[in-house]
Amino acid sequence: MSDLLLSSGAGGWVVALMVILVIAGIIASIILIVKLFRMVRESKMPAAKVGVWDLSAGDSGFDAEREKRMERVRHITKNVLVYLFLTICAVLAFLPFYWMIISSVKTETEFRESVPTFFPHTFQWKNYWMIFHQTTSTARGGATFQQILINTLVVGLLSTLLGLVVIVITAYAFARMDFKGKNALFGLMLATMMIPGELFTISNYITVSQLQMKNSYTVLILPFLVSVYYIYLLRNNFMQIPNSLYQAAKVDGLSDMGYLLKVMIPLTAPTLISITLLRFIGTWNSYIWPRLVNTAPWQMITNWVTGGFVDRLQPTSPWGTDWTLYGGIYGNSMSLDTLKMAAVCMVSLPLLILFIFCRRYIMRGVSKSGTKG
Amino acid sequence: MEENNANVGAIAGAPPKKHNKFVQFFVDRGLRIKGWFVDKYTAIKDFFYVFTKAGRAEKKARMAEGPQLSRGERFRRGLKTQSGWLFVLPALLLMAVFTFYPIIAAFINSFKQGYSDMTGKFNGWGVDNFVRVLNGDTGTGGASFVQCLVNTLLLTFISVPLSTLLALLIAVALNSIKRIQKAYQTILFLPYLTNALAMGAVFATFFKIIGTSSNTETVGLVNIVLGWFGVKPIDWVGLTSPHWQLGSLSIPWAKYIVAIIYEVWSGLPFKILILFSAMQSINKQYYDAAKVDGASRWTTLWKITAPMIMPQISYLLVTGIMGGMKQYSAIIGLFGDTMGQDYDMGTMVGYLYNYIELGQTGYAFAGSLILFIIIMIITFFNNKITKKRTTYR
Repeated sequence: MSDLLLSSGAGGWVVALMVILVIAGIIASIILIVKLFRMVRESKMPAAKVGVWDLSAGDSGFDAEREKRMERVRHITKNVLVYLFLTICAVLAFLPFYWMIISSVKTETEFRESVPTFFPHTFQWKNYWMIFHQTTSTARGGATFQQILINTLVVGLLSTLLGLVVIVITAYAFARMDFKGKNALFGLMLATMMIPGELFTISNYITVSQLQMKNSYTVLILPFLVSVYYIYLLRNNFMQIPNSLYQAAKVDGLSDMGYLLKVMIPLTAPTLISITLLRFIGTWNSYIWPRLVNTAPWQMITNWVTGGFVDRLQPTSPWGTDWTLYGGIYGNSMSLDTLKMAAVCMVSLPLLILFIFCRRYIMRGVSKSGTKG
Repeated sequence: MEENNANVGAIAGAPPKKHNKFVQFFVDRGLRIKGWFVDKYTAIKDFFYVFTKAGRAEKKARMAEGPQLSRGERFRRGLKTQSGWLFVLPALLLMAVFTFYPIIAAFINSFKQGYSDMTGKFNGWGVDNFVRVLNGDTGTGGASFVQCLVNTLLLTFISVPLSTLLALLIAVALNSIKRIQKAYQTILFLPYLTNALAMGAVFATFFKIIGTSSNTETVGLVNIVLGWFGVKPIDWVGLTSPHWQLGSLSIPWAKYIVAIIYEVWSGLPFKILILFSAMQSINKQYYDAAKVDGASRWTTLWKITAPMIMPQISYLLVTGIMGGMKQYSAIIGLFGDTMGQDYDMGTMVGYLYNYIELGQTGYAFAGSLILFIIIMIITFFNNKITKKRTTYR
């Protein structure tokens, strides 16, 4: 471990910070250990007489003071172990993110050092510059980051908004309206949730190729507009709204549509926000369908990440073809891990930021779907 | 209708004949089965009653009783009461094209031999696709079905119990602390919102050996840590990754370990969240009662907490196994487009997509139906098990 620390080549302030942290940790542990020892020793000393009984006398005597102290010792030991366990878990949970971020700004030489550094010697922000101005490998058609980002945002927004409209009106019809065959239809829809989605994908692939819909935004949006699970979730939410509200609205002359817009949607806003966020994240992460039906200029951001990134600008970029980061020593076809980590950051960081700002809604959406079952 | 009722009455009203226990058992079963059929028969007859002569006459009589409506008025009223159909129409149309039709098409097309998705031509019906898929005799150099099935099952049935157990431990630990609980919760939940492909690539760099066999530039973080304990560097994800060979089946255990570590890491947040919120919602009275009775912490955990969150645990196992059967993107992220070397880390879903891309949709259809059947079997067993276990609430 020590050689790792020494060779990490971190800046002065980072070393100082780490040293302070380590010293603080050592001091804290010493204090704790001393405290524990003292308590254990004290607990072995004879306790004072309580009332008329000498509780410390004899082996069979019950020593209240001692029990109390032992209880405290046990409590502290348990707490130390629990916090240690949780801290290890939290560090391991966070490590991949940290590794991704620092790797994305390392130079390739530093990344390949036989003893990895936990803080970059030099920050090479040009890694990002490189991936932004590079087209993906020509085997897949080639697309720039700007094109991919526009694709992802347009498809994400359209499919989220349109999907939300479809989900809301369908859930409303199932929750509040009466028509023949309602329950049968709803049962049929729920039954499709049992079937793995991959079964649909194959037929859908044939359908869209026969309709000549490949290489368009439509083909990315249409098949996933309806989500039976969200309809089910929202319907249950709608049904929790008391019926008297509906009758009151009817008396006030509100139409079905007006009631939906003015009463139900505001009341179920938290669920709707959760659905919106989860749907957008789902589109952002979609990989296989865009890869199947579209070529590179029409694909999504995850497809862009899986293509390799090399140390050379592509002919299509305005910066020319000869510009390289490392003078061409890594060749023209070798995919570089640092560049890939920069691309991975571009995909993962928006999700992390979204999570930090909308944690409440996302967690609620997730835990809601969890308590069903 | 009437004769039917009389029939039912005859069964119910007949004087119960005494049999011995053994015979009675079968008589009871028989009567119950007969009753089930009679019920169904009555229901069907009731449904079709309106189409019979008597039914039509009755409807006509009822119509004559009520207010006389013109045809247009009746249509308008019908439109008003049935307007719900208008609301569900968009969803219904989309589902008809992209959900209902594909299910039927999958069942039909998987029995077409030599089906070509471009021209729609095929040469005869039969189970040829299934036979070839199961024998691995597809003749296209694609993934092997048995290999994919074994990979999927092994990975799922190792990683899901492992991550559920770990999540249970973490949730118990999280539940027992008071200070900075929220901070730990947030950090532990971070991996939920990740892109499987992106994070798979990050995990691959932990295990990757870069350089040639004679001159390794870096052996990766995991190998360095293992090196402290004297373990020689293992090529976890590369071409020379160690594996066991069982006939034509290969068990790339090093890659399995990598995939399992990734799956545990990515599966934990959801499981922790579910278990933790379940623990938080347990009524505190139970714990107080246990304390009064002098139960130890361990006893409390196994006799109160565990039974109370049993529904959530079984839910997590079910959804985890379902999700595990469909894993795909993480494998691509970790081991690249070909799912390891010659698809030795292929999964069931990877198998389907492999054959779509090879243009052999007949095999893909057959594979998807087999996957569907396997998932149905697992669902069936899950239902059997969870029904027994979830009676605590």
